[in-house]
Amino acid sequence: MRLGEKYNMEFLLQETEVLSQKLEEKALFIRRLNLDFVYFKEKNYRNVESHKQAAIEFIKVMNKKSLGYSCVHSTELHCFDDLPIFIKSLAYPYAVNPELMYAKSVLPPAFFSTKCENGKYESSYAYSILSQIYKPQREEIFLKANEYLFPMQENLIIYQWNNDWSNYFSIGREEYGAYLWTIYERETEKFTVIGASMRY
Amino acid sequence: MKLLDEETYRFPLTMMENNIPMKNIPILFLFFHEKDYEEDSSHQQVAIQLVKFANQKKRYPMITWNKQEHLDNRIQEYTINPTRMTARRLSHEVFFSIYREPKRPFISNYAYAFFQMSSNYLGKVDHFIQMNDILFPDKEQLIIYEWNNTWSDYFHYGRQHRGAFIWTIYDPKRNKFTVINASIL
Repeated sequence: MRLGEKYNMEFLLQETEVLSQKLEEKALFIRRLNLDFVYFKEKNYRNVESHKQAAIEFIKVMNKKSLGYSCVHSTELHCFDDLPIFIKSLAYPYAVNPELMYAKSVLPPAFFSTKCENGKYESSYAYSILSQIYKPQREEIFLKANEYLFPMQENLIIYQWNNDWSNYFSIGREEYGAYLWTIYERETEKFTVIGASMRY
Repeated sequence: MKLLDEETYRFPLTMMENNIPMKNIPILFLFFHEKDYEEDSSHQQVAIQLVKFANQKKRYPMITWNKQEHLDNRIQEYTINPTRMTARRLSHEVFFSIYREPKRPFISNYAYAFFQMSSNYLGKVDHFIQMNDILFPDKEQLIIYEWNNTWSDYFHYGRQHRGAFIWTIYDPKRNKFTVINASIL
């Protein structure tokens, strides 16, 4: 069975494409953001199974974005860090090993928290946006953007994934951090997947 | 002549699965099926395919996804001038040779590319041999051409730095072309 074939999770191309434009119109995150936002519709929600599928579908979308067609290579490789890093110029699709994936649940208040003690953020999502060494975003913009992106924050089901099951994360692992969150909203039956592989 | 997509795009992964390091390797491998082999003309066509392949990759990422990438996308396509193409034929002994006299360059530019073109690449002699054994199970029958690099601006950057090479290698038993391009882009 090919990945993602059994259940029909729908990639929302239109919504994904217009997001950066919309953020710009609303004067949110104007400076370059090192995150990839991708939307999916998931009617048949299967808890963490759906989250896992959304994470893999996200990598497929990243391949579509850089190569022009959707695909993903499956491998039993356990270490991805010795693959070519600048995938874009070499045109190689990202690969995944689903066996290596695990996730932890994150509660919305912790996810959206901007609390920071001694330079350490409670939320790695906040960290990935606020503490970018080269282009930090302002905290008030971060809060405003989250209100726009997630109008019903308390209803969200959020999982944070490990970052060593695909070479999508390689550059971020080497430089400023690599993250993946899958966020499900029951009412709208929508996944927001946020990936970050932060490089200079 | 048809690009063998799966083999080409999965190549680094396949090599990694064989424990051959691929990070920072300055060499690109493309594979083509060619059943109507016509010697020089086929070699020339497949060499041109490399530049076409690079041009195709320039069209992505999708421009609508964000503004930053839109700028990168305006870069012009590479051009070619087929009248300036020349090649020489190499024996497999020379091409795969890892021999060098002390303080002298490698006999084979391919070995030079593998071992010396990128200071960050970690592949060693064993990896080179293992990779070539996977790529070319029957080396004796290969028809290997080494091309000049002045017929396309694709090679411009490499020419100005540590070199730009392209080899076209035909395996008549498998009707298969392997195009090897070495340059740091």
